[in-house]
Amino acid sequence: MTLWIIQRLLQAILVALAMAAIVFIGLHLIGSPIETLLLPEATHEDRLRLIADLGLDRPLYQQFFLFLKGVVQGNLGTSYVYKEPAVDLILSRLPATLELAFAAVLLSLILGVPLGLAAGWKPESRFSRTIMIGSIFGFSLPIFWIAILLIMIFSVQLGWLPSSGRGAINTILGIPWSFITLDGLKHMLLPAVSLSLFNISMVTRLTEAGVREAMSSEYVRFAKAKGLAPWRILSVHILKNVMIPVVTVVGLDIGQTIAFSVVTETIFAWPGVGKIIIDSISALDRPVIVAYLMLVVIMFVIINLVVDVTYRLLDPRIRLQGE
Amino acid sequence: MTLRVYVFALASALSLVSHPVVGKDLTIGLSGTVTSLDPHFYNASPNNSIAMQVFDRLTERTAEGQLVAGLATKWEAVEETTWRLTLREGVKWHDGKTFTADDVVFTLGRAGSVPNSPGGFGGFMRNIASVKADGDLAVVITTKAPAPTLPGELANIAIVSRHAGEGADTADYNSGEAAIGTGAFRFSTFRQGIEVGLERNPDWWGKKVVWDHAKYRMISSASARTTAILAGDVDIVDAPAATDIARFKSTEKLAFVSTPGLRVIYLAPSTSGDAWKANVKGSNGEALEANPLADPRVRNALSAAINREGIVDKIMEGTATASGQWLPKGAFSYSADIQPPKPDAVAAKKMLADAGFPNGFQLTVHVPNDRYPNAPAVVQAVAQMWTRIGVKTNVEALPWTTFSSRKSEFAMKLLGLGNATYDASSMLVNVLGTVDPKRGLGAANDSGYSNPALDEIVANAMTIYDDKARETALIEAVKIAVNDGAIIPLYQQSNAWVTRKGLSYAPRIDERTLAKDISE
Repeated sequence: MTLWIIQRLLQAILVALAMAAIVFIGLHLIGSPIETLLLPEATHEDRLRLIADLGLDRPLYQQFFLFLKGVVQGNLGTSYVYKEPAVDLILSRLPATLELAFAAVLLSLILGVPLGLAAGWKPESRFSRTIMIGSIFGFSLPIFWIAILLIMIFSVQLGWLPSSGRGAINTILGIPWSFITLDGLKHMLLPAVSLSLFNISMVTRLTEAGVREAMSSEYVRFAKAKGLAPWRILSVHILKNVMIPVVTVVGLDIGQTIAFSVVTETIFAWPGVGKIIIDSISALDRPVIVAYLMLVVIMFVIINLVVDVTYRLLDPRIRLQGE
Repeated sequence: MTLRVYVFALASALSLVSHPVVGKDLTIGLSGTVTSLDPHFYNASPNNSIAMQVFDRLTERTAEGQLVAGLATKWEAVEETTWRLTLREGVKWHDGKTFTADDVVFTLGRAGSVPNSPGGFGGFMRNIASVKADGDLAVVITTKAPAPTLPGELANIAIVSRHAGEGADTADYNSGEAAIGTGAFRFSTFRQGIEVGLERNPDWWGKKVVWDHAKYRMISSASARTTAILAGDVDIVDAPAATDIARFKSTEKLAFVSTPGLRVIYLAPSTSGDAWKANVKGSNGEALEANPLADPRVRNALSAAINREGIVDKIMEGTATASGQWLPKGAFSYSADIQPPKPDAVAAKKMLADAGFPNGFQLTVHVPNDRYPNAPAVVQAVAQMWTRIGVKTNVEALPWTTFSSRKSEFAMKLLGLGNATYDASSMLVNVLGTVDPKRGLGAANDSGYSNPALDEIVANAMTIYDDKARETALIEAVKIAVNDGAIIPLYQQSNAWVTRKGLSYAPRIDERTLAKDISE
């Protein structure tokens, strides 16, 4: 399995490099960061000095090789806009995004799996039908609309929860988190709920479908005939089999939620990476964009690795490629 | 570890948050992004809002833009090219050291040349030849040419200390290490793109500040600012969306203030070069020999066809003031004689015919779609007005990144200018001046406009020490530029703030949100 993991990591590096090259060329075609950054009051000298300082007077391929040289030395470049190392900038925002994404995924598992199990166990009951109809709303209503609705009800009308920001934060191992403070949790509730609604519905439906399929299979009928308690059949026999597609989807979802939580972060002014990447794109802040995308590539690869390993643990019959 | 230990750990973590807060706190929702605490890093409004409070300037601007004393209490032109500034006595840096003339010398050496910075301060100091301390409490500034506007330009340069700033780079300011000012607030926290925390400087020389702590939260989305102020998360927000203003005005617990601002939105015709060819065609789509926009009569016809009041009313929903020049009423070198042209399609058509285009022509206008509020809709409206007089107009909206890189290729484009000099000279020198790096002219001139006669008048005006006479000369220059149709001004954007009831803030013409001036 070690060999397989190394293979996957090497693939990831190739993908990241190819992506960096594409971003370099793409941003070069879009326009020049000098024009976006410079103010009308800037002088001719300001312009020349900035172009030289940022190394934009060199041909593009030279800029790319300088960048690669930096990467080898562990330096992904300095933001044009903030003049901070791009990686520091992103890592300083990452905890906010991570905790929001994990809170959303956690909510979707805690609520989605039991709801799906219940709905699949007795599909004809009124309770199950209500869950399934509710889940249709969950994944058809757009996130931004739900988010605004939640804010209008719980922040503006009722005044129970704050509408924006991260609230009080506390550090664990030097990293700032909000989930360890009451105020931080309050700030996190609305964005996490609106981000998770889609996932809850999806997990519910996936689990429900899995349970219904498993219910008609031999081993479940045998277990029933043997007289096992319904609780045991559900939680031991069915759940394990149902979890494989759920794990795949949730794994991909974590990646999606982290990489594309932009909408929720904008509406709730949540200071995560989504906001900085949008700002950077609109300023053509190439070092930050490249660093961010490289981190995302690496993150997706790691998540997929974890998902594959989890498969094996859930179902020992599954063999990994190259094993 | 047992469950009890976990619970204990959690409880103690929670108790850490509820530390008692002393004093008065103010939370501000800011639309822009503060990119650095280095006051010479980037001359943009959000950065300046913070820099104006942590640091002081030699001269200061009031909310209306009047020049008043800052760290300099007196400034006099001792010779044609020499200014002597008397400094305020007894001013202390936040770390307790005394402010002296040497700090001014250091600052003026640094402000224009911070490495890797987009800057924007160099222009204010282009005239400075040398800066010398004259004792501890006076500086003598020699200029390359007569520079009557120097005190006004110095109102843009934050004074930093030599002892903290020598050898410090932008990162040292961002970390707070070098962000030692003399201003109303001390640096407390800075998280890039997220928030800036300030705490009151009890020893500040200026008027008493109400707030013990001020927190600037950067909330770039207008709807998020709206909900934040409605929910009471913040005490004041800037730049509310035009569509939300009616709601703010009718909400009992909120107050709304606004003023016409320094920022002008205008259309810039390309008057020379070949760039127009791709975007201007004859009335039947045929290629044209000469650029119609090179003719002032055509530019004036286009200007006369625009119903500015209608645009301001219907599209900007009252968040702008129609303008025929580029400064708000009351600003230095604003002229009451120049009123926004009355829309007159008949006269416009006649002017076009006189210029040799009785059937009009085809024109593509470019507009950034993510920079100025409602700009694409404004240009759509202008396009219809122009089409009515025979100039068939297409609109192309582009993101700012692409727009700004290609802006010299456009025949007609919408732009904004913040008038950082608080008078007409910023437009006259940087945008309308004939491109000439040696004379420091036309650094932002990408439409190819050139009027040597105007350049001379402006250059002359900028050497007049008597304020009244300089204002008259500048107004004369503005009139020449306006009559020549050098640009087609549309409106002055309004600067607006929404506060919770009980707070008062005098709206600033320069868009800055200053906690020190917010009172309860």
